[in-house]
Amino acid sequence: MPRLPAPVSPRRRAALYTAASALALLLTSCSGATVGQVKSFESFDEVRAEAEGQTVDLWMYGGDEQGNAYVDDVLAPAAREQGVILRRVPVADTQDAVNRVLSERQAGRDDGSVDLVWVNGANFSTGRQAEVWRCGWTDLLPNMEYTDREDPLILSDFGTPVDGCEAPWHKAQFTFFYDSEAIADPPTSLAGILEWATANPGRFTYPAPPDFTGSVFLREVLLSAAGGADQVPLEYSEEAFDEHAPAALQALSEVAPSLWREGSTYPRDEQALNTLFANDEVDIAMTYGPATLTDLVAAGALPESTKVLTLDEGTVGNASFLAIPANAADAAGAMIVANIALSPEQQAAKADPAIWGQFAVLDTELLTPAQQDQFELLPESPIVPDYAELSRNAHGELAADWVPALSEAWRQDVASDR
Amino acid sequence: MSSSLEFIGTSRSFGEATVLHEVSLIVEPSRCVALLGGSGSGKSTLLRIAAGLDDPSSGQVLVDGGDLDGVPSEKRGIALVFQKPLIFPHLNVVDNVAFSARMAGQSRQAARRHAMAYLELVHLADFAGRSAGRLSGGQEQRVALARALARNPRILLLDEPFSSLDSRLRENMYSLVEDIRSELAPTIVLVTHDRREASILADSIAVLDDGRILQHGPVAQLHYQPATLAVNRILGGLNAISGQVDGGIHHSVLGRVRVQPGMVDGPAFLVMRQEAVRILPAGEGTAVGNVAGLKSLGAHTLVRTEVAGNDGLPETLTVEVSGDPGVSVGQMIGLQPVNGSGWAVIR
Amino acid sequence: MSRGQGPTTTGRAVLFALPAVFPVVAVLGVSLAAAVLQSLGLMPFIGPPSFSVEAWTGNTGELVRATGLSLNIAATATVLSVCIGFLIAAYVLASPRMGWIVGALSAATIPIPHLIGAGAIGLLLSDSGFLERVLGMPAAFPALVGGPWWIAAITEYAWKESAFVALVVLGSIARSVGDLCDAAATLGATARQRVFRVVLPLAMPSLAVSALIVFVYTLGSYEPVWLLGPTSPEPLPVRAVRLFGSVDLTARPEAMASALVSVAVGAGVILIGILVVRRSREFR
Repeated sequence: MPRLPAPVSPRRRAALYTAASALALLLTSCSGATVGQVKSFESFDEVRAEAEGQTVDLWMYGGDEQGNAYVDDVLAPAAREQGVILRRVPVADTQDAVNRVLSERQAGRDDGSVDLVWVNGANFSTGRQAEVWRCGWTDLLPNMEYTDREDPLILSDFGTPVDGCEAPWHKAQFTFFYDSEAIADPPTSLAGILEWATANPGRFTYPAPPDFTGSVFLREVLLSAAGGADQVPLEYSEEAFDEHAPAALQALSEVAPSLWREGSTYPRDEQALNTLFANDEVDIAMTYGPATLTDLVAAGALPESTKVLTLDEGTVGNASFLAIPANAADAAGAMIVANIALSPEQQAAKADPAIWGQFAVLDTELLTPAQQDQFELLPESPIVPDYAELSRNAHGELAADWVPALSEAWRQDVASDR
Repeated sequence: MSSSLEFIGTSRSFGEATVLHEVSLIVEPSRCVALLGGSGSGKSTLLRIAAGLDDPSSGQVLVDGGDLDGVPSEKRGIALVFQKPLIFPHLNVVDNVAFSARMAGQSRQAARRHAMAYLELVHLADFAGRSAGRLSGGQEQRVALARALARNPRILLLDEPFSSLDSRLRENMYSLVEDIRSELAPTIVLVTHDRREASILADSIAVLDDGRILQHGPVAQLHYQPATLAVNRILGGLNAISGQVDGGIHHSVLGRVRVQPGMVDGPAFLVMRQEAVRILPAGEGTAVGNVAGLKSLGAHTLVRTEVAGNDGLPETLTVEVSGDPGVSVGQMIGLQPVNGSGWAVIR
Repeated sequence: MSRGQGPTTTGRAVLFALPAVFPVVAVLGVSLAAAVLQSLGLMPFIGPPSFSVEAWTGNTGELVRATGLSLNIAATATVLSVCIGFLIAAYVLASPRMGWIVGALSAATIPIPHLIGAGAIGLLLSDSGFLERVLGMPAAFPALVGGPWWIAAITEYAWKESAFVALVVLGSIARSVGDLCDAAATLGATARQRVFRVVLPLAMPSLAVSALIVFVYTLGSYEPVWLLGPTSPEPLPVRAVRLFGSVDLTARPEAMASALVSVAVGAGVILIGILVVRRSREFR
């Protein structure tokens, strides 16, 4: 499974949707895009009854082949056993799914084609801002009992309260990795990485924001420059931005001349960075999906000498979720799928690097011994330490509003500079 | 300025099909030779080879004794006027005629001045500024002729240039070619399928059939002394009477006719042009015919007669008479060759 | 032409064309109107509509820079495509045997999507790409992909669009040009003169039209510049798509403004192009 910089399909489709929906909107005489009342369920039995025979369209980023295979080969058959047909709709970017929901709502459709979205962070908060998500439904899911109700990663998504508007799916830990043949003595902090980059011109770079991975790196630099994760308020405000952003941007501007291509351009996304790493053009790279590294090395897409680089101050972690749009045509079926996805069997299977390698959102202490055994049996990776090790000293994500503000400032100050 | 053109054993085949079989032909300077033949006889291919637009499979093309092999079209000094006028649509009339001078590196002004002389020659000086798309067919062909002449070619090749014009325009073009010949005296090779055109314009005619030259000679010789039946047919001769030559005399239903000296004894056809037989009242002349059909050619009429001999099958003899022949179908008439002697061919 | 019949014929022609023209005009008109409304804040995703020209005036410098960049890329790509396309066509006409292969290769590139083409060019020209490996010059290899001169993106356009230009030119002149070139040869034109004094002027109308199409296409095209260009500066389409996809819903008006500028520039170029083509025809 070679991972070349697969050209991600364009977002032009989104523009088409807008045009089409705008047309539909005008033709329906601008009657104010109100969506019919969302039907709520009293019990999960009621959900089960309604869901029987429904076809659920799960819109998710389609560029991860392991993820696609997991949904098609493991999750969908389990859903079928419970009478729900799960159909995966691949999108180039989760924004496409959110745009689709927004456009359908603007057109006044209440039988939306999006039933379930793999989402988190800014896309979730954008949706909440526009009130496109169904909320308060996750407490109905029986398998929520295996999650820690106090877990901050599950309670808040990039600073936006979850409020039962999305069901947790998996956790992720932002991780750096390096070529152990090129670097004998790797840095142990983010500041150390930037220093290393300055000392080794042309051997480091990061994906250009607004790419997801690049944005995370930007926020990590922000926290590092501010002196630690606890120094920056999670909530976004202009004051907080003006206080903390300049130092981060300055640090990045200073390191830019020492980056790959003297910082005149940046890799487009994580895959492009991986390609540079695999081609020995850079020696350090980064990912929010460290579990996939094992597989990438095994497949030869990354060199054998790839090693995970843990930072003393820890890195950012997050959870990603399954959300149901308020206008979803098959909401009950979507809830069934979200519940199955939370089951210990599915979570354990999904955590297997050979299957997908996504960290579980469950609290293992709440599981039965038999269920715990499923996680104990997971193979150990020679490259990636376990989740406990990776998430040592981890911190949560900043509020989603930080993301576009930082990206825009980076584009103006750092990217345009050179 | 004029040159001689010579083909020596020129052949051309396309894959399996052979279009030209070892054609040899000499065109003397300032002479006009017509290549006469039907479609598919290879006559256009021969011109394209002379012009350098096609290469012979074997054989040579010589101009003034020099071999043209490997000399590209543009260096041969041979101009070709095509069946289609092929006026450059992006140039006006004068610039079309000035094209060759421009290609030779002359200034626009000089080239146009040079071109005007040739436009005057073809009586189109008034059309100099006109765009190429706004000419009639005859005008286009005159521009094409002027354009070819403006190149001052050593040899001028004409590939059925008048075939698409109506008869009145064609007559005009014939006199234009006469003017050009008397003024510039270029060596001309004319390809045509029209024996009348060939006869009017050319000093000699080469008959091409199936890629071979059957006969090359002066116009009258081709008409009255064809080498073969095919030549006779191609030049419009309608009569070939079978019979026997014995001691210089051809014996047939037409009786005894003296033929050319040197004919060996044996079976031979007497070719007798339809214009060279007279109709006489029954009982007169050397043979008796029965009128089998009449066909009007306008001012002339073809009278088809059945001539029965003393032995053998009856032969058909066609006679061309001017005006009303004064005979009707079924009538018995007398027939008399105009000349005392005839021309016999073996095949 | 008989009088009196003119108006009825025209009227009927218009009637017949209506079913085809109406949907196009309607969709285009409504989309453009929606884009204008969104760019002026009158069709927001959230909150009440409020008129604002902020999207147009807020960052004029960047909008102008993006427009200039897009025009530059489109102009360079068009000039290259037209020149290369014409030479391909001339080669196909001049040497029928090898030309047939070149013509077939050109025709084969047409259905390749630009996205795939851009991916392939990326693999070929990037720092650790095929070309670099073949040449074996890691240090000296120029920054073609993502470099400051947009070489990879322009190369992709020139490659794909020159094939398009060649086919348009061949389609329009192939029938007549052979005989005219023969005529030119017998009039003393060398091979070079035949190409530039006969084939080129004959191809001019189709070159002009295909140049217009190529220019407007490359102006509005997204994938190659996005995939093969540097992070900054941004051409119009990349800017429009980035802003449209931004998680910040308030960026939509700016996205629409960028898209509309690209539409307006494209329309302007088409208009000027048509005028120039028509003028040159009259001149003749």
